[in-house]
Amino acid sequence: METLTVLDPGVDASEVAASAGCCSNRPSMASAASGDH
Amino acid sequence: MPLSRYLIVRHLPGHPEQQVLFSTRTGGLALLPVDAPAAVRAGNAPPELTDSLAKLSMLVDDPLREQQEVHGYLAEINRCNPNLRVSVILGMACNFACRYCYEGSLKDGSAMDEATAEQLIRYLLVRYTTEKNRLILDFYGGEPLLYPDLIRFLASRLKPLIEARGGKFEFTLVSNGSLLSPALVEELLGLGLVSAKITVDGPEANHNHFRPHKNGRGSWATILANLKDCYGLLPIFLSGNYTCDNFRRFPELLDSLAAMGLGPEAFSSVMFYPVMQVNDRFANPEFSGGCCSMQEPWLVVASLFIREEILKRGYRFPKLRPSPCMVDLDDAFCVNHDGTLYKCVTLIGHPEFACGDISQGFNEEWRQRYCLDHWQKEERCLGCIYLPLCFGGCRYMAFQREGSMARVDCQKEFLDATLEKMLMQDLEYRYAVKGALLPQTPRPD
Repeated sequence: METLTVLDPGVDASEVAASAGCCSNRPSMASAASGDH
Repeated sequence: MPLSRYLIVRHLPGHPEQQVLFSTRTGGLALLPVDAPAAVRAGNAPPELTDSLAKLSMLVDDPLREQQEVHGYLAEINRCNPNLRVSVILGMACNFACRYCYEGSLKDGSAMDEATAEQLIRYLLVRYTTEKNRLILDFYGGEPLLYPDLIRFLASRLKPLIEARGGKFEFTLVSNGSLLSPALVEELLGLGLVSAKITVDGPEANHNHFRPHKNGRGSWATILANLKDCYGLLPIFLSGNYTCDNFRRFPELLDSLAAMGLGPEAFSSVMFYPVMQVNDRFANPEFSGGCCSMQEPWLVVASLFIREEILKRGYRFPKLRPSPCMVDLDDAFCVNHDGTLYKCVTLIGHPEFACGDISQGFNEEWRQRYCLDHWQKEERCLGCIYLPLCFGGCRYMAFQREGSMARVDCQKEFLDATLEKMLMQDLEYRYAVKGALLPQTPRPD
């Protein structure tokens, strides 16, 4: 039996949409574009 | 069923029997025995495994259709976005004189007047259509807490109007933290405040060098005292901005916070960013320590170091997820204090990127000016495994670097160098998979 261990199921588009609008959580983002000033 | 083209499969150090699966499309993360992907590819895997992987979007019926869905992902986000999200620049007054501030000489103290605030309310009520169920305002400045009366005015007017439509009104603060107090927070919570993002640049001497009060006095001790006083009252997102010279000292801030009783539970997340080198006419010409591109080699070392130091202390770091840019969202924008509309807070003061105003609405030209969907013209983007995490990168960074947004701000080199290590950090610290950060042993396959 192949055992899959799900650590994080991820998110679908509706979940992304619900928190969208602030790109400061991107894995690659510098200060100004993250909203820091 | 083939594996998703947005699936990253890596060996798991310290666990030779396991592989790590990560979907750049969903942020999903799973472990699977090493021989399972081959069995899946060969069609020999048990149905319950293929069903589970399909539910995670790690296996797909039709790879071409999957790719088309990802190319249409931003349109899908816009179709199902339940929010109207607006950054509101209340005014340009600030009590700090941060060395790297991109707003620089724009901070002339001008502020939103009452007529503009009234018009903003009218405009937001027009934009808040029947499909929406939440209006989120991100109050921004300058320093937004220099404008508490304006916050009270906008929030106290909008909250009942949105609630009367069956919706929810919320607002956040992007603040330097120097004016945060329990009394103010408790008052604003009643008006819809849901969180604050506070910036602290590492240990005291570094922070005070980069983020002093206007009079030159340090601000670190005041901010930390305010964070302690407000502990538990509202979610705080702790932020900070580092350079290639000081990033290694940023973890000292976390130790100082922990010593004050502000441990991991005190913050919704902690995330530090490299300072961006801003080259336009507003910026401080004497500051030169920022990055012009995420491809600068030191950023790989710095970002992984910072991330690991945050995670190993138990503080929360945002998960790897698709995170669309405001420019790509139909129902997200920025309103400057004079009522001008922009698609990113960083572009205020650049009339060529003004998109209209709160009296006339958006003009027809802004999509061309912001090079919307520029990534769709790039073959390297259309076939890129990182597309859901990137969608052409940061237009503002491209603009600062190249004077134009026409070309994508490619993140591939940075993600090639960091993503696998970020996954191993997550396994080690978020999911207690011990040994994930051990050096990889070369394998025959």
